[in-house]
Amino acid sequence: MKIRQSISKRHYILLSISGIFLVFLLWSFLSYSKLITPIFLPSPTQVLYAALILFKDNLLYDILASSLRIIFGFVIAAAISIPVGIIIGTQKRFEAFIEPTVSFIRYIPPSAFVPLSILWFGIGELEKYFVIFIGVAPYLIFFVANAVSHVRQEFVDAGLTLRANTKQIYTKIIIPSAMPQMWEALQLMFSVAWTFIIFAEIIAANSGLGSILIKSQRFLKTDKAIAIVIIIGLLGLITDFLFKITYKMFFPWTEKSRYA
Amino acid sequence: MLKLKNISKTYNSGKEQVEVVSNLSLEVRDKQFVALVGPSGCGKTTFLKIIAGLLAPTYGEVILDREKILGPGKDRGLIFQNFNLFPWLTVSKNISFGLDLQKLDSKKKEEIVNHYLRITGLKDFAEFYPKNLSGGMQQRVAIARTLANNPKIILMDEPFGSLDSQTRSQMQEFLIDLWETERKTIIFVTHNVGEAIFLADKIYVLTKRPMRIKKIFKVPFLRPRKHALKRTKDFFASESKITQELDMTNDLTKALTIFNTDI
Repeated sequence: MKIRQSISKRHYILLSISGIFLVFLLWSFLSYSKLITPIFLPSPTQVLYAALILFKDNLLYDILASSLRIIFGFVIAAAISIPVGIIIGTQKRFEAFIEPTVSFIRYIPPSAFVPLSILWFGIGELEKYFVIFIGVAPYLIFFVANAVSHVRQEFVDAGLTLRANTKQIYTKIIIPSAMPQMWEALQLMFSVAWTFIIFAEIIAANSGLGSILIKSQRFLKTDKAIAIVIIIGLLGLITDFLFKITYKMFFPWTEKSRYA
Repeated sequence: MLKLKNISKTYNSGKEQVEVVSNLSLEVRDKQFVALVGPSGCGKTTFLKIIAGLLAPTYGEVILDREKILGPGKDRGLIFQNFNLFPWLTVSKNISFGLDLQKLDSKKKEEIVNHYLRITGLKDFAEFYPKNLSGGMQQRVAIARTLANNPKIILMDEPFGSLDSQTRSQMQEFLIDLWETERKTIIFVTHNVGEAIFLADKIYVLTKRPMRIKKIFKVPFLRPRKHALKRTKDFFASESKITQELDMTNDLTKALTIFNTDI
């Protein structure tokens, strides 16, 4: 097969659906045939039924709880990481001052901060924001700094010869030029943020998808657990889709937006 | 009048010092079209960046109309080989980039942008992004972007080097028509001798590493110049004369390199 050969949209969708369908088929076969006992692998019908019960028991409230935690934690992380990343990517002094500390934190798994976070903030919302922040910010800073430092020097030179001052070099050249890559970093880190929040909720929470997940495990409700896992996946797909659509909307000028 | 006095530029690469430009002096009168011809990698880009104010010379000074140049300025525009348009801006926004930085009233701005869209024949492409334009069109936008800022001097760094030969000769004709109407000082760097003769009043042949002026030619052809000029006997004669000079500098450079490595 040719490398990077493009395919039609219909072809693409067809292949996507058949990929998902194949997994579904395998699951159906293993569960309906009882090759694996329902306690470990319930059938699709059982899972669907469990999902309906969950929704009746106010699952939307838990979805909202998890989503709000992610959104708040993420917005705080982004609001701090983006400016810090831009400074690190353009000013060597700041890079030297901040970067090693950020890298140090980046190498610590965010899950390692959960116990400390509970000690410091209890098991309320603040603790969840902190876990997301500590998980997202060090990576986001790195990605933003990287995007900014790869802005072509020639763009900056062109700006300078057209008489842009330092502030204008940032606002009119460096930021718009690095924006698409930053957006992709946000997309990537948002999906990672889901991992952290679910983990934090599994450890300690009274609401949210993670807390239902751990309750389902305790009561051997495998069907409910699988339903939650699928819902998390679907929520991920939806956010991914939103990021892709907005990418196309905001950055019609990129080479990528033609194919995305 | 642009005066370059004893310009030298040395780069530090590790422990070694590499002299890229060596004690170079030249004067360019207002509204003159000057071409610099030299082997590739001879430091022409460095030299243009010094005039643009993007790089400081190690020694010497650049003086424009009795004022020493200390940084980039509105009076000097730079045009790059790879067009270097801002891909996130449409054609008209690229052209008005310099104007948008100044607090100009929007009517005046629009007038200038429309003027250059017309001159460059890009009126129908005003709302296009650079990615949807051909190389020749992109370079016309880049020229318009620089001209819209109304510089006194335009510095061009092998501007047509990455275009195919047909587009290249179209762009040469476009530039020469433009220069004959707008009359700016142009310093044009190229390694294409024919291009230099066709466009310029004066040609400087340069040496490589360090860059020095080897020889100066005055181009005798009258203006307006049309493409037919390129097929005349006199043109061929000038071309071969300058090419010979250039080849000699190339051979000299090679000889020197061998000589140096032997030591």
